[in-house]
Amino acid sequence: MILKKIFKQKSNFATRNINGELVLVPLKNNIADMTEMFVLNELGDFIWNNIDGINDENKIIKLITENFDIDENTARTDFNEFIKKIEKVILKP
Amino acid sequence: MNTKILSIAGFRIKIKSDLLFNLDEGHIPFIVKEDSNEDILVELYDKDIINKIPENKIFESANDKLKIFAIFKIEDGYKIIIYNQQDNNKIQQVAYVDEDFYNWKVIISEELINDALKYPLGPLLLYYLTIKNEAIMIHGSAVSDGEKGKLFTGVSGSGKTTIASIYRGSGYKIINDDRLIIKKDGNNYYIYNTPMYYADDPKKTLLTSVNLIYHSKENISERLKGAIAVTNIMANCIQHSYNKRYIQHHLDFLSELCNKIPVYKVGFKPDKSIVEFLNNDKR
Repeated sequence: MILKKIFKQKSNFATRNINGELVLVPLKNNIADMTEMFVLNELGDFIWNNIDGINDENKIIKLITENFDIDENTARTDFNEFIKKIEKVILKP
Repeated sequence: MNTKILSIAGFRIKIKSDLLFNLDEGHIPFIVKEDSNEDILVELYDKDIINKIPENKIFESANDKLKIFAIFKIEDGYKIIIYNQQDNNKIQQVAYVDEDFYNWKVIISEELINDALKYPLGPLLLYYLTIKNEAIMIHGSAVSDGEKGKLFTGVSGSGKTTIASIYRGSGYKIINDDRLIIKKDGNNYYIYNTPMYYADDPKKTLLTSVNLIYHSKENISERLKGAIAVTNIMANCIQHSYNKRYIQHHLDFLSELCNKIPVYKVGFKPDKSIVEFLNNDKR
């Protein structure tokens, strides 16, 4: 469910990969909110890009183990930490 | 037909009208005679300002006390309503702007006949010029030794005006200590001043370092790179973040700038020692 929610919100962010880190800037309709930005590390960038409306949690964790030198338990922990962080960003009013 | 042409940061703004209009003292030094192709065309009208506010508001600039301006999407472009800052219930200007932000049809009230681009319309025009080009607008101060230019930027109260004043006392030229345009030209980046509420000549310097400043008990400098450099500069840029393309423009522009121009986080003591410190700092 949360992955679908994040996927829906992705279009409300401008992004740019800068030397392996992903900068996320949310769209805003008021000048007062303009300084809010988020930076994701390489793993966060990978997870963000694989939240595509189709991949589920297990699929993304499998992709992490295939693309990073970490085991499944570590990948799951990292994935859950990412979701916790990004959920706060997405759900922010 | 009365016409005036402004040259600001190398951009041409043509203003024409049947009205015998004028501009405030801040814009007058930027008036040029040559009539080359304009980047923005402003047409001034004096029809009655209709106070009807459209429904489709996409962006607003306001603080706790005052509405500054609001942007509405209309069928063939945008309607921008600019509020009078002395009497906030009054509308000062209404601009009908095309999708490309090239043609601005601006209705002004009679009292603006000698100040047609009254704040914040002037900076608004410039903002939309920068997002169409390789340029950004930023809150900051910039100084030049005649060859190299330093940009100092930071949050409100970080010392932008203070550090400009220190450099002025050390013989440097001050480009401006409030609002600047950074523009890419070939492989270089240049800093330009923009019209303020007071008269000042157009100025320009080569950008050779970006310094994110804060007050400190001692002078200290740390190099920033990558995402942290880009986001720290971007936080001080003038942005209308309702459109993803505009944000993307800033991200792309600043990413490229940070690859070329060194960025530092600089804590400074508010005295002349910072000038020597930054000159001797092996950066």
